Amino acid sequence: MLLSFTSSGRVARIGFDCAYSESYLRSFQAQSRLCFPIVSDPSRVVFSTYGAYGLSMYVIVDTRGVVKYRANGFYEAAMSAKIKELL
Amino acid sequence: MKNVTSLCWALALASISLCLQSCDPSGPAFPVAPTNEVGSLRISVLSPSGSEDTLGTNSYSVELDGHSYGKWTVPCVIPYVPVGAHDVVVFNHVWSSLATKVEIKTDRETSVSLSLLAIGPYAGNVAPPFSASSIDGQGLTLKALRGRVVVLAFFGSVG
Repeated sequence: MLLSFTSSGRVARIGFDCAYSESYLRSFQAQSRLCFPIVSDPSRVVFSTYGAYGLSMYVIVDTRGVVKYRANGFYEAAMSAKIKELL
Repeated sequence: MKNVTSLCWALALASISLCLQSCDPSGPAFPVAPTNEVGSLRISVLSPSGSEDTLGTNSYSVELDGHSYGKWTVPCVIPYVPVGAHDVVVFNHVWSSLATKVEIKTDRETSVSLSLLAIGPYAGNVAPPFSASSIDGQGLTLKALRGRVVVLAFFGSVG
């Protein structure tokens, strides 16, 4: 569901990682066929800006730049519902 | 020795003169319309509690259509704004307004009152801006994604 929204072009996804090397992330992206950009953030600049500390965290920002959803962990149903609401 | 000193002074003065010519101190610090079709924009801001910031102590960066119009202490009147519709945003390191459309008319002052939201990573905040490069070398900014719903996924390094 989330991926179908991504491919619509109305939703942008960006992945951030602070733990692995860029070469590992490149192979991970290719193997997993991830169709969104991944940012390597070893110095945790964006991680700390968004208060992400170690656990998986997802943030959804609406079309005007306002945070509408933030959760630790991946809850696909909740995220899909929020995205649908914002489109 | 005296000649060398004189030469150094002459070169220094020439450099200063050139610098002054290229940096006109009276010139505007923001884009000016190429024609006379300009108006002015009066900006005031409302805090989240709904009260107007009239103290004139808080400085905000002003952007029109994504271009910087410098820093202003609000309420303020920005002159020489090109006629037409513009998206205006004000922000500092703590607060930001949402982009709001204003229509500037020739030789008129248009007023806009912008509501401020806190900048932060929590629901209801304006998402903190960031600038980063993907592992493919693609430049990414949150600002460039305005108009789209954005999902930011922070991969966990624990557990």
